[in-house]
Amino acid sequence: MEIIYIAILFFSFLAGETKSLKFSILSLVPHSIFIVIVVFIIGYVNNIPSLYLIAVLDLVVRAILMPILLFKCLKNRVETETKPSISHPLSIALSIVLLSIGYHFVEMFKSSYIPHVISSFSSGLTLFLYGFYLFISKRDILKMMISFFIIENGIHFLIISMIPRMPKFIEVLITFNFVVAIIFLVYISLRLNEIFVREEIEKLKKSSSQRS
Amino acid sequence: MSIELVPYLFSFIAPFIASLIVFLLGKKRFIKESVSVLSIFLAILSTILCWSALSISDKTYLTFGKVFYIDGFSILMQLMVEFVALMVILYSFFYIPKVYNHRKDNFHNYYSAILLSTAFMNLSFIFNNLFLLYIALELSTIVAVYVIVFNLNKDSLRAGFKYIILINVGILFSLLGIILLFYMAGEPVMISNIGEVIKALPRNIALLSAFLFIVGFFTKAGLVPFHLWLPDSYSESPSSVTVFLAGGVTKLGFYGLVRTITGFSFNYEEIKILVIFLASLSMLIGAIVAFNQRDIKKVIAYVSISEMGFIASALVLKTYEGIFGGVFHLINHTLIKGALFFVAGAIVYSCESRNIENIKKAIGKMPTVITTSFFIGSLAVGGMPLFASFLSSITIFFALTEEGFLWASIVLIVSEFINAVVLLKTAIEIFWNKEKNEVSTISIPFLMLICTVFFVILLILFGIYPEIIYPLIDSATKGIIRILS
Repeated sequence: MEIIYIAILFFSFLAGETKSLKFSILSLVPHSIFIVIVVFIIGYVNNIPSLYLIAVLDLVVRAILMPILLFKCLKNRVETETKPSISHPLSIALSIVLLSIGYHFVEMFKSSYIPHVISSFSSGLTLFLYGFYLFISKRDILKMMISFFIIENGIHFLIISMIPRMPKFIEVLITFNFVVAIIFLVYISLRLNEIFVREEIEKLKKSSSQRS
Repeated sequence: MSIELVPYLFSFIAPFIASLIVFLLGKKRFIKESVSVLSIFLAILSTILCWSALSISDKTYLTFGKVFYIDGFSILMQLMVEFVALMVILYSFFYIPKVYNHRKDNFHNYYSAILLSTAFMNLSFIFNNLFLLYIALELSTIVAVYVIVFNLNKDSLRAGFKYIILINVGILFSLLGIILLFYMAGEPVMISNIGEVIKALPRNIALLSAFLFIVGFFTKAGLVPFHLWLPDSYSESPSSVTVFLAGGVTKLGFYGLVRTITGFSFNYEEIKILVIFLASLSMLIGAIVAFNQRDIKKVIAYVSISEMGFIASALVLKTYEGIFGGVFHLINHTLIKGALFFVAGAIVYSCESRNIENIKKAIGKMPTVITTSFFIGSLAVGGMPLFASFLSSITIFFALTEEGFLWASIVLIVSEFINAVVLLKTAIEIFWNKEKNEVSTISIPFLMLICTVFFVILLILFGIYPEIIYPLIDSATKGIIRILS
């Protein structure tokens, strides 16, 4: 299990730190697939069949629907990230520190204070913290959406590890909320891209008419 | 739950069904307008039914199974949101077609989004389970973004993006708090038992959960330092929507605050001090930043942040007077902001600009009703006698002082004074120092004037005859204290 958690964190690092937005979104696919695997294993090991439903829902929403929706945002825009507020090398270094040391400390905290929670707790809390770091350090709209996605995945893991027997309709409703929020974000992002393209065309027209 | 209870739940069923009807069949003006108004009237009727059922019963709350929990505070919040939604819809009949004519094919979606958001808000006020409250609260937030970006220009889209992403991320912190409470309690945490759950928590966990709730609900309410979404969303959205945001959407943050953080502040002095400190920051920063603004709606937005600080500081006090003052100011804030933003809407309607310099150049002779409403709103922000805000401010002032927060009371008085000065200065600049001297009065649709005046009349009425509203505030205050103490 430990390796799967590390893989999840590694792919979230790739999603957060690669400059190419296409690659960032693609990194979310294995990230989400590993989440699905973890949820399925937790359901099997702890004998909670209702988690299978959540695993299927995660597969549809997090591994398939979300990347598709995020890919839509690439329409009418450059596929490289807008310059973040923290320089790229520093951000990579900070991410590595946050993910590795953060995970290690959360794991220590878990085993000393809350040993009864399911093992995905440390990964969930680290994802939440890392997503929040990305959220405040990135300025690109799509990267902010990716960080929101990572934070949400962290919360999802925390729910599963702390209250695995929570009524599943609540978890389904929380996922539904998340999907609706992403749909609205994609709508806004697409409209903004259209406006930027229109502005660029107008600028080009102006400069060409000045030259002629 | 039996079928007899359905009329009580019409507060969210009616706007929900109406939003579907308007979305599907609302292209015709008559349908969208009549259905919207009718559904809000039905929702108000349902809430009044609940209020009368609560009044005649011996209990201070009603429960429908384990799902719904209705007390005086739920009813007060529902009535406030329904009243605001009604005013917003009526105001929009003339305002939206003129100012946003380029979106005429989507007017029905605008009404549908307002109704849907109202339905989710009303639902969150009566849910007992904290998870369900969170879900309804978040859905109402998300749906409201459609009306914020209704103009579909670059600035409104940016404001909308900021609004949805910041609030969604912020509110996830409160979800984390709910998860922590659930984990510690070992059972779903309900509004009806949250007081007991908080009391049983170990100190460290309680402080951590309170901190998570503060981040979440302060973001939702738009309080400093989590207010970044608020000025842009208020200024870029249509003025009618701004009233909806100020009177409804941000109030959900206060609802969450009262149901959770107030409970922690009853048991932990540190939480009370932290909230009052942040609230005082809101009061001061809002008032000071409002001074530099040249956008009329941003001026009112920052004043609004400042005023919301008064409410937050009062709602964490352990005394009846403190909570009473906070709830009373919650109503007054809605009325004041309703009047001021509707006046701003009338100015935008006639001048087609929000910039004070442009308004000075373009504004003609405004109807006396509009200028008077702005002045009354400004004086009410300053907590002048004769207005309801005087009573609520003075109650908060004494409650804060009695609990040993004299410094916060002084900050309150100073920021009230600054707020009033900022708004009066803006009013004088716009209505007296205007550069255009037209003899003819600008024509503002009657319905827009009526909506504006209605807020002002209530502000004066509750100031002169507060006993009209006291029973409702008293019931709300007792409801809050009953759960948490």
